[in-house]
Amino acid sequence: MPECEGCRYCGFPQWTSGKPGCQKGEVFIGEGAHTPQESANTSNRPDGGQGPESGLTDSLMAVRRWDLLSIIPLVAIVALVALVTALVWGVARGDAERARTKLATDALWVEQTLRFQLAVDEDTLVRLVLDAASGTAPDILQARARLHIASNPETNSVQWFDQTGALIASVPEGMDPPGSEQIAALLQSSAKTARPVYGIANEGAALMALRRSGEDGGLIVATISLPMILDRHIPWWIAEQYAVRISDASGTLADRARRPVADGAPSHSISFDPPLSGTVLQITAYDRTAALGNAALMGAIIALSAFSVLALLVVQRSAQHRRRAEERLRAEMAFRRSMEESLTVGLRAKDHEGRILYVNAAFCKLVGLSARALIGQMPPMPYWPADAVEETLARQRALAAGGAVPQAFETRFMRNNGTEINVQVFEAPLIDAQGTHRGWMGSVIDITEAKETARLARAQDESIARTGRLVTLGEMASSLAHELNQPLSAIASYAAGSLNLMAQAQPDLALLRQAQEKLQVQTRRAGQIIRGIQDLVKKREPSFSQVQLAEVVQNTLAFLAADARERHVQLDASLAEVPPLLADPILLEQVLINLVRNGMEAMSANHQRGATLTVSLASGEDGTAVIEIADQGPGIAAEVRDRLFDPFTSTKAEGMGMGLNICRSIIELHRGRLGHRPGPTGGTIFSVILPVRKPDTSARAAE
Amino acid sequence: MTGTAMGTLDIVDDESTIRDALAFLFASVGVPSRGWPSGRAFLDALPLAESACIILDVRMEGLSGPETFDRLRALGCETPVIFLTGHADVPIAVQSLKAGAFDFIEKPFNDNAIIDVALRAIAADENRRRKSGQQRDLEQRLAKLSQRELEVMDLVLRGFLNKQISDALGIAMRTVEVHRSRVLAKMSARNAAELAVLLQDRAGRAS
Repeated sequence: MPECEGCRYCGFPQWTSGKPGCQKGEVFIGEGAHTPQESANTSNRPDGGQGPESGLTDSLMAVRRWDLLSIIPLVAIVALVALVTALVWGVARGDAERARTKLATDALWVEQTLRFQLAVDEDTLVRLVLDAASGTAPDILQARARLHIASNPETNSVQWFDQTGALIASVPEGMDPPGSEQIAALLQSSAKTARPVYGIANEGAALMALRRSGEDGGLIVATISLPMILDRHIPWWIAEQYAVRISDASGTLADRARRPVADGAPSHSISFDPPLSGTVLQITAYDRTAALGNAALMGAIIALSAFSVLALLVVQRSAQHRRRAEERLRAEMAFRRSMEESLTVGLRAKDHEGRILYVNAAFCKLVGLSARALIGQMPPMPYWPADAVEETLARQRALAAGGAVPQAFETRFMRNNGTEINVQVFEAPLIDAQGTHRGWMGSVIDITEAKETARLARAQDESIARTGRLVTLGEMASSLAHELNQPLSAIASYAAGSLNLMAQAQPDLALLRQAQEKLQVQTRRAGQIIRGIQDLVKKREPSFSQVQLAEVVQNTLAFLAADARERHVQLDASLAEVPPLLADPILLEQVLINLVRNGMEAMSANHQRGATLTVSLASGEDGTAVIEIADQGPGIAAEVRDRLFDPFTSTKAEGMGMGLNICRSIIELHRGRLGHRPGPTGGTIFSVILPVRKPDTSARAAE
Repeated sequence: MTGTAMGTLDIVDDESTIRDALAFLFASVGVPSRGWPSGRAFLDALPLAESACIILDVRMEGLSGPETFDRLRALGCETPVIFLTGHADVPIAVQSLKAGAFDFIEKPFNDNAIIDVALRAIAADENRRRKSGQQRDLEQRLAKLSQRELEVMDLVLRGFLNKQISDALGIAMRTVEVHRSRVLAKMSARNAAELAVLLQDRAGRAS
């Protein structure tokens, strides 16, 4: 299989059809498109096989490969999502931890604030007790207590009780004392300590009691409103975020909340015992913005990954589309290549200089040379016959001069084994994608066989024509002989028989008469046969007209041109001006055809190739025209020379020996002479000498 | 020439003129003849005992001359055959001659040439017939001999004397003499020499 070297030239942007691999701008690498047979077999087929099975394997492998490739981004996306989720989770966890810490911190802070305030109140009570001990008048003490209440509105009242729990004084006046049991409990608990003690009064108030020094050992009790203390001493930024509540086992003692808190909201509880026994301080966060934010973030991530997966699918789909398109393209390319390779028409592309750019397998087969040997060749091509190089070059120049117009012509190619083939070439301009005329694309068809068939048909036609014209004369002679033989034989028999009878002593006269009558009949019959032939000849009577001999010669040569080509004989003519003469052009043509063909046969019998047969027309002596037919054959043998014009003399195996005889008859009919002599450089020259004077045809026609 | 003993000439030609003319010619020299329009017609009429010579035209419709000739020979007919030929048929005629034809005559005929050839053919046929007649006669005579007479004749022809024959066959001298005289009588021979001449051909054939 010839290898296509076209790839080298694929940079040449002119393959607009037939070579799908060579689109402009593409670069072919490796096993790519260009060694047509090879690539059809091997490209993308590791098994090297052909046919549908391997095609299936091919596509299966492609799918597997495609799957692996497509999973990688998917895995990456999943991993990314997992990582981001873990990160977010970690961050969220940290946030929650931070929030809890902050809650605890804030709770502690609130507790500290409350304790500080209670400490302020305790301090006032202690000072009042100390001052009283140091003898400060009760009025002043009360005034001081009033001042304290004014500046600390959470303190509802300051009251003095004696040892028994009876109210001594109250600031502000008229405030109801707490229940006596409570006072009693306070009296009891304060007895053991110098520190203030606390109790819980009704309506969410705390009681702070301090034993007074001195003899009576009474109590000073400050009633502190817990709601008021929460309202006044919890800063706004805490109140904004948290609901604060003080409660004991029986329920809520005080509460500060902007709005109801949701269930499960993060909260922190701190024991508020001491100072208030059995109480708990609880702060609860209102909102969970951090968690919400996290959720949004997670949502965004999930949405993004979903989008990524979606995008991936879309990309894969389009990749699949592209892959299918590629497969179709590859199949199309393979199809085109196989079409191109199975073409019986040879294809050959060449540029303007005649350099071969591309040949297909059929062309290689046609000329018997490999593509490697042909591509890049410059004229003259190795497949041009040596004797046609000039002609082919001239045609190529004409082709270039003619512009981008398709042309068709017949020529000959020489195969590498030396045989010549006749080809029909169609040259069409090679136009690239830009519309530039880059060279010529030729389709070459081997027409040797067709020509041979045509030649045989022509030969047959000619032989029929010959039968109808010249050869009939010869055949007529043969049939004439046969026809005449019968009556002549009969006549001879009757005559001889009659003589025999007459030789007898008493001849049978009746029998003799009968024989003579029969003899007469046969004589008449012979005469009729002769007359019939004369009638036949009369129909073929020459028709004379004014004839230009040059035309006759040209017609003859045109008629024999094809024959000469087949015999590889060059026909040359040198025609001088000769005055017209009266002749039968058809008969003269027949003579010339006979003579020229004899010459060609002599040369081809000698196996000469490219020999030349010259037909010349010139004026001769005494007002004659001379046509000479000079061949380069072996000449005429001496033993044949003298009887050349006799009937039934032939040097040809299949010849009847009537040709020259009839030719001479025709020439003599024109009052001319037919002669021959050996050529100066071998061969034979036949000469036809015709008088240019008006021939006396009337006498001939009458015969 | 005497016409009575003469055999008949068969002319096979598809041309009636030729048949008629040849018939006249042969009649003028006293040779009787018959005409046949085709080889087929002639072959169908066989066997013709009196046929002494056959004149065959080479070029005929239907069976050609040489074809008819081949069939005649295939049928065992040994009558001499003369071919009539035109100019172009000469090679065929020569070929037929090699195959055993008597002669060929080119048309148009040259006066009495055909008669001479025909008479030679008839004479040859007569000779052939006579020979075959004598042969038949001899065979008949030989058939009359008994086994013992044949044995005696054989030894006589080999030149044995009566005594030798008697010893060889183990019979009495007298008996040999009787056999010998009977053999000569049955074979119409006057003596042993005549008998030997008579049986010359046969002996030649047998060897």
